[in-house]
Amino acid sequence: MGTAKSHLSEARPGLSPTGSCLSHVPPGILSGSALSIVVGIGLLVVGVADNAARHGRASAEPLFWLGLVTIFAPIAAQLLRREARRQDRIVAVVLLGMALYAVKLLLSPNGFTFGDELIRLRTMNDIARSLHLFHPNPINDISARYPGSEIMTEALAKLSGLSSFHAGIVIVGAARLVAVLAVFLIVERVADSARAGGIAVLIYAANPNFLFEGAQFSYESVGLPLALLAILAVAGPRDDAGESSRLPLAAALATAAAVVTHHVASYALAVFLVAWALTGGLIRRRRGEVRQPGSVALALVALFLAAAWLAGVAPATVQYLTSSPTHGVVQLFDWAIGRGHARTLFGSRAGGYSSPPAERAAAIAAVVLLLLALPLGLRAVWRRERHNAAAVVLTLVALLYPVSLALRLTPAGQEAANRASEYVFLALGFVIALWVLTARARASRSAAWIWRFAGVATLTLIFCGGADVGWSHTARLPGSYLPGAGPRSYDPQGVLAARWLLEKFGPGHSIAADGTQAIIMGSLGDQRPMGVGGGGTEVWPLYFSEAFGRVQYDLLRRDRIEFLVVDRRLGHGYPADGRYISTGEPDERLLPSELAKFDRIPGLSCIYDSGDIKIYRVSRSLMRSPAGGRRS
Amino acid sequence: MMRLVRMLVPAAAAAAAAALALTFHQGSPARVAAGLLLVLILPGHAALAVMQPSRRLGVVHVPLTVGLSLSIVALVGLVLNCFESGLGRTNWAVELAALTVLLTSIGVVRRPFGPVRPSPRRSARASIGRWLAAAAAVVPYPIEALSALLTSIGAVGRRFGSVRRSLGRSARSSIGPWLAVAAAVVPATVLAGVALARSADSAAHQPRPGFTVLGAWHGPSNREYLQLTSYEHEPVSYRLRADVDGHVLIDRSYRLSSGASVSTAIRLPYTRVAETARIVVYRRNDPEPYRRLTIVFPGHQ
Repeated sequence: MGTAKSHLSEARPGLSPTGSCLSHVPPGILSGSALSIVVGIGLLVVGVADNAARHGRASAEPLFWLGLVTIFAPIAAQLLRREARRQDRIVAVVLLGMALYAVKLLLSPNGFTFGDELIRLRTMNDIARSLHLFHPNPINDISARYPGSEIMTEALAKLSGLSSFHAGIVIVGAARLVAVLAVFLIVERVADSARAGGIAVLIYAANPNFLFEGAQFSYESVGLPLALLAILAVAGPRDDAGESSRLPLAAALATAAAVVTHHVASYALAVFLVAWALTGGLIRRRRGEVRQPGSVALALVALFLAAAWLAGVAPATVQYLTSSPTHGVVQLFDWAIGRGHARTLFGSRAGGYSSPPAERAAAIAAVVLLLLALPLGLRAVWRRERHNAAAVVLTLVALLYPVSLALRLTPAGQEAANRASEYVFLALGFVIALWVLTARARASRSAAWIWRFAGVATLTLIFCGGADVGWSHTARLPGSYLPGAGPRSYDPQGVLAARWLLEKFGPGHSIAADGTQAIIMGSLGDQRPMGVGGGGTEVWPLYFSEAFGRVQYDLLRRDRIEFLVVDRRLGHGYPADGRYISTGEPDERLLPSELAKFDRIPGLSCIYDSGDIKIYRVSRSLMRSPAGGRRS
Repeated sequence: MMRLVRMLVPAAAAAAAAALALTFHQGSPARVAAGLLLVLILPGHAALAVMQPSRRLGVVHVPLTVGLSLSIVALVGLVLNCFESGLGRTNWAVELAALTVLLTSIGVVRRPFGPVRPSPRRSARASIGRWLAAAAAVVPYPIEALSALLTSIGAVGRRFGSVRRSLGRSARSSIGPWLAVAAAVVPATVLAGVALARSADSAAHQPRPGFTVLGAWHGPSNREYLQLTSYEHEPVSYRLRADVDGHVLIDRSYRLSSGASVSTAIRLPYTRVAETARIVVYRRNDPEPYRRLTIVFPGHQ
């Protein structure tokens, strides 16, 4: 990427004009304001769907999808238009990013209800209380080692007087704005086309994590936009005059902030910048061009900062990040040679939750369409951009998409594949956008509207399929309590139990609980849940047994567990997210009788009963007695 | 001179925002605005002024300003963490304002050395016309409604309609890109606000099954404290009974409305052979226990 007007900024035959703000405005049905109104109506429909879901009405699901399509399809039509001005595309991109962010806010408008958000809330509460960083987070200690998003939220909360929740959604909203604009501007710069930028944002928004996972108050929701900003600053954003130049200081600042905020985002950024610098060097050497100063230095800065933070502040990140993909690859290998089982796709466990057939079809269609478009995009890159280092690196990243799909077939690899999607889809968006540009260039004018309609329908299908893959069918809409169903599992009973325990017994007690209650107890109750990430062994043996024998007593003593939390609703069905307590638990249903056994255990005081949730206090004599399991 | 004054505006704004953030109480709109400015806009804006003192970045300014502000805030937080006073409100306000002033000053110093792109001169009349046009573009709907109303009541309406049409023409011809973006985003923002307000209300009043909480904890003087709280949707009668081996410690009836709570204390008989006390709540006249606690005596704890 060069300074001033690079070779990339030259107009090319066959590609759409990038269009400046001063270009002619063709009359169109979807002007900015009209588009804005349609998107707003889509949000109203999603809001109605959420309200219907809260009252248990069956109309909620179709209304939700109708609202999403009302938001996405008109924006896709606008961004696919060849005649649209750059300014119109930017408006559409901003509307898309923020409207889909609002969809998540409509799901949880009054507080944090996602598991990751509550984990972050614990870190924020620790910072607010102590005014210092890096307190161990018993729910997920790694997140406390990357406190960037919490620092920003805390600063806003302190200065503006907003609550943690409101400050958090403002910060994530601002990060979302940065992310969509950065994706647009990066691809616009690399492909030299504002239309390519718009199409890339559409594909990027179709990544499974964009709608909910990437919109929650989480470190990745802030870290990834900062990484994208760093790439944009290195690429040299194009200004209104069509000129571009690098912003190395901005890139360094954004890189440093990304390193402090999120591990994967900072590593991906460092690797991307190194690959970019190396590829650029190779291409320039082959073409006999002058070396671009600074690109290698920026890549090395990113690499050094990420490595230094990893070594100095968060060394446990290595084990945290490598376990899931490593197990995923092993499981994939086992499955390939016939030794293991593949993950149940579109569902949790045999006999448990599963997606409706229409959603499965949309998800599969989305994957098939992307896989079909990928080789076409590769061909377009080879023809037009093979001497463009950034384009080459983005293409290499896009090739990871099929790999990530393979990992989705395994239980352990699914999380890694899910994490990778936001990174892979940026590159996938670029590659497919380049193919769309070349394909549309060959289409005749008379057939243009057919192409546009087909394009909008295809992109909308890809978007809906992505949204279906990324977030469980049961957690997408609010409603009554369901086990392991994201926001639907965080209900007032759990919150009251956590607050009661904090009020009556104080903070910092070690407790055993299921996955949902552990997070609530650790976050809102300020307790130390064992076996969920912060320390201690896994506590599922306490629950997955009708007997309470030596194994269970030993577990209580080893981790010095003071309180046991039992949510009897877990016995009503399978958890939507596939696990009741933690990943190592048996792949079987938790029975009501297994949850009722605690009433019969000597030495356990039942000190709290709200009907569904019970809290038991472990007596000190039980902890001392070596033969605790006398009755079992 | 005017340019210098304009460039110093971020520094003045930062100082004012810091003062507002430290002065106003929680919930004050001025403090909210000050916090948003200090965290999301001013540091990044000032940093960009240092990096690109002479360049008009256009829309690129938005992600760079917001992203750099967030980056700077994160890094300033790390620095504040090194001090004993930590991440307090005063520290945040002073640090961010001081940093913005410093960066703005560097930007002012750097500015004359960079290539300056001359901006076209505009007359005062043209400026007023541009602002009027911009206003018409940002708020087209009230003007539309007002115009329709006035048009329907005669000559005054016709005259206003002509003014509106001329403003519309002016707007189409001269509105700047920023205001066009604002005009395009406002309707979605308003409708999203309506949807969010409705959703927040709906979530707050989501129909959920009522429940009742019974809790117990040790207190001073070897007493066991009991608390019964009703979260049912209507007033309900309860009977609270605690016993040890048939020896009744308490047996009382309460009628609690939604959200109401009652607390009581019982003294456990340590001299008895029994190990546990049973506390049971009955709801209305139902003979089956509704809530049940089993307390291991403190002596056995």
